[in-house]
Amino acid sequence: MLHQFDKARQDRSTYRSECESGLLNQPPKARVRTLAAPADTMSFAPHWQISGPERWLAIPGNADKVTPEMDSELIQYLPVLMLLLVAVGFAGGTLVVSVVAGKVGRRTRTKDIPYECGMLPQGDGSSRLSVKFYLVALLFVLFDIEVVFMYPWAIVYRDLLRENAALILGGMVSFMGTLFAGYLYALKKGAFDWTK
Amino acid sequence: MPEFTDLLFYGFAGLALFFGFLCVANPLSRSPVTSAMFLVLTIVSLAGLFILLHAFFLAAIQVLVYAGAVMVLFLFVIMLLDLKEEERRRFRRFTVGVGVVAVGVIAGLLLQTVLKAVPYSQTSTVLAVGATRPLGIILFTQYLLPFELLSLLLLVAMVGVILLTKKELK
Amino acid sequence: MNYSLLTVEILTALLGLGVLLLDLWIPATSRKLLGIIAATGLGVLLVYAIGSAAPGDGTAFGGMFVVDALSGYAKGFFLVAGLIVLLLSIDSADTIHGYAEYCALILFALTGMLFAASANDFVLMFVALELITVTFYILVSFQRNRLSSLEAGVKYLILGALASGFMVFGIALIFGSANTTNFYEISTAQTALIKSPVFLTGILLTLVGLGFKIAAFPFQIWAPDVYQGAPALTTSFLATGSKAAGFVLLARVAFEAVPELTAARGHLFLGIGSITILYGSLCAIPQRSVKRLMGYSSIANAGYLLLGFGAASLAGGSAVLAYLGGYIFTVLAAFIGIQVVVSHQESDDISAFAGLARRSPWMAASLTVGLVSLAGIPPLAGFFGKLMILKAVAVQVGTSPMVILSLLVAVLGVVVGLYYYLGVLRSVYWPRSVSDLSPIPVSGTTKLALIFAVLGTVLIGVLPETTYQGARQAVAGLATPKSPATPASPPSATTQAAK
Repeated sequence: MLHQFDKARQDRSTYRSECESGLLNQPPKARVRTLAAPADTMSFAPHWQISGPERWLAIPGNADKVTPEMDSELIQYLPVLMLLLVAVGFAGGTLVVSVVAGKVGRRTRTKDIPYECGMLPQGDGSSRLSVKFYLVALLFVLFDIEVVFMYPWAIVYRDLLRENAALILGGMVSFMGTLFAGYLYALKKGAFDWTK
Repeated sequence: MPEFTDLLFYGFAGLALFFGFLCVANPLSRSPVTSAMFLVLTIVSLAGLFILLHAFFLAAIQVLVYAGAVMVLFLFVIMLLDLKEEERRRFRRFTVGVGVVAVGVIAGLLLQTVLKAVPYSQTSTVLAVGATRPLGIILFTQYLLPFELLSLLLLVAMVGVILLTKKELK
Repeated sequence: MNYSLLTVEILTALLGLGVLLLDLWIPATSRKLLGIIAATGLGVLLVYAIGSAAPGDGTAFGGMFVVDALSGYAKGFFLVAGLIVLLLSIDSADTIHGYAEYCALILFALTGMLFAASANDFVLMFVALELITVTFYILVSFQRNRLSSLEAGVKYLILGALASGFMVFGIALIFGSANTTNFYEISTAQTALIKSPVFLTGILLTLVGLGFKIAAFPFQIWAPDVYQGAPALTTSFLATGSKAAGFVLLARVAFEAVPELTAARGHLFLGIGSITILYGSLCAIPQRSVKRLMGYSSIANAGYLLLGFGAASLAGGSAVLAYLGGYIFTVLAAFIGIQVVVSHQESDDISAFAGLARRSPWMAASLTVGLVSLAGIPPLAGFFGKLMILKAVAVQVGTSPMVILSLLVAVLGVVVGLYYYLGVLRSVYWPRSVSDLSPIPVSGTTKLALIFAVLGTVLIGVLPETTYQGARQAVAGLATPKSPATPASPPSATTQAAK
């Protein structure tokens, strides 16, 4: 059986020494907990009663005392929910009201075609798009994703600069550098050349 | 008010399932554009679930990138192909049967998992990783390496799309 | 943190970037140079990686990236596979549309494989696998003007995306129940975790994703179509590097993260392995397309490798890795012959190979060594690998009726394999009818690739001890102690729960 191998893991001491030195090299969870709970941004309720779907994910005895107070944060999103409801309600309501309160017009086959007189419409109105739109759209999405990653980076940049400047700066520089190579490639291959 | 968040959870989860079903098996329309629009609604419902899980950044990304940019890409592909009604493949009874069986097996597996899982009574393990700052810290310390590798992945996608769509390369 | 551990990976990625960018400024007539640069660079990296200059064992990025015996063992084979494919591609530099990109993509896929070999975390594993898979979507559909290549690319893309979806869902469930994605931290808490149904479902769904990569039943359906439709060069790399990366990751998950689960559910691997062997072997019999035949052969071989996992022992794990090492050389040797014939004849039907022995003795020899080794005839690598696996499984006779059944299936697979592999060789040496006996020219770089592949196959077969010891060390290095008595990390919530 595998678990009976006598050979211990070779990198254990390395791992431990990494863990014991400095904030960045702390084991992942301790790091999360210390960094993830700046006192000014969130409050913690130690005995928050969990209900709903999350309880299914717990395993027996897997208790962790750090639990954010849910409601105080969620409450900020209440206006968004209300806006959503108002928008859906308005759109739906208008449709319903126009059917209920409006006069029903006379409908015949001839009335329903775009022009009552003149040419009969041909084809189905949609036409095949050129692939170059797709190329531009996909390149947009790729660079969009790049920017998405820069947003959390910009937020934590100052904090992490104090901990390990080379890592936080170098990490983003190499990320951007790789994608800049992609940009150069796209540019030279004429991917942005619309006229061709 | 935990009851209210519970209510919201079931609301958003139900909507996500409902719209997801309409996306793949709409009884009223077989138009791919309709499916794409229902996919947008599914994604928005999922964003609601993310908010309930305190993953606010992810919720915003879900709406901006997926419901926005990626769905535009989907629509481009649909218009690019521009399949006429008669060119689309008909459902075959065998295909539908196999699909139903596959979905049934997966659903059964997940249902069994959920039923067997021990409901946990006291506190739960919620790491405060949802908000943007903790997410950024975890992404740029613990998960820095996958993040770097991601740049290579994006580059490969970029090269691939140019290679496969450009008529002649310079 | 020790960044020098990542030297090989970083340099491979930079080599790929360099080739990609260099192409933008050099004239189109000297494309061949890029292939030579890429191959030379990779050769230097290979010497560095297996030489003593490479840094010793250790971890980086908080235990996410690990350099140990397994990663060293696997990386050597990945680099060799990349090198042989690049050498082989130089001949086609003028016919491949976008050759520079092809080289760069091979190098990026190789980077993904190298990271996969060192991944000690589900997240890094997923990203590395995605890098490999996304690159292969492009490499498979590279011949844009050939419909079958595009079709293969689309099939691979859709099924691959589905498998990735399952995998990422599984990882989410694992993280939800284990509260970590690190293999080592999971292993310290596995006794408690494998009682959690959520965790088990997570592992199962992750295995679905890996099962797709290695083409194990029931996720094998893509392999024949993709192997047949893809350019032969791509197929050779897909059959070796991509598949091996899946197996190395499976070894890490099975033997490092959840060895207790692997030991408890070994018969599951045996069952899936047996069905995979049966499916691959039986479907290969009527094939006329050699590339498609290699697809089914690849499925059958995945089955043999899974049997090694089913043994769930040190011997089984070592047999898997030893088999994998020999398999990479073997398949490359076979594919060198296939690639040259396909690019010369523009057909991969068995009839295209008729009389190859007289047309090009070099290619015939390469193909022969590859197919004979695949068939499991001594003294080549394939024989030794199959022997090791069967031995590891046979030891377990008596523990479960599944063991005897899978042994029978494995032997049946070998017999059937003899038929269809040697069927190709009969066409090479004793063709029924030959219309064309003009010699096929073979370039120096192809000969070099051929020498590497054939030498590897023969050496591993004749002197299996070195490979087997390397594999044994690699698996033994994965072993975790029975109980987390001396935790490497401060006890987390999950390890507390285990007590």
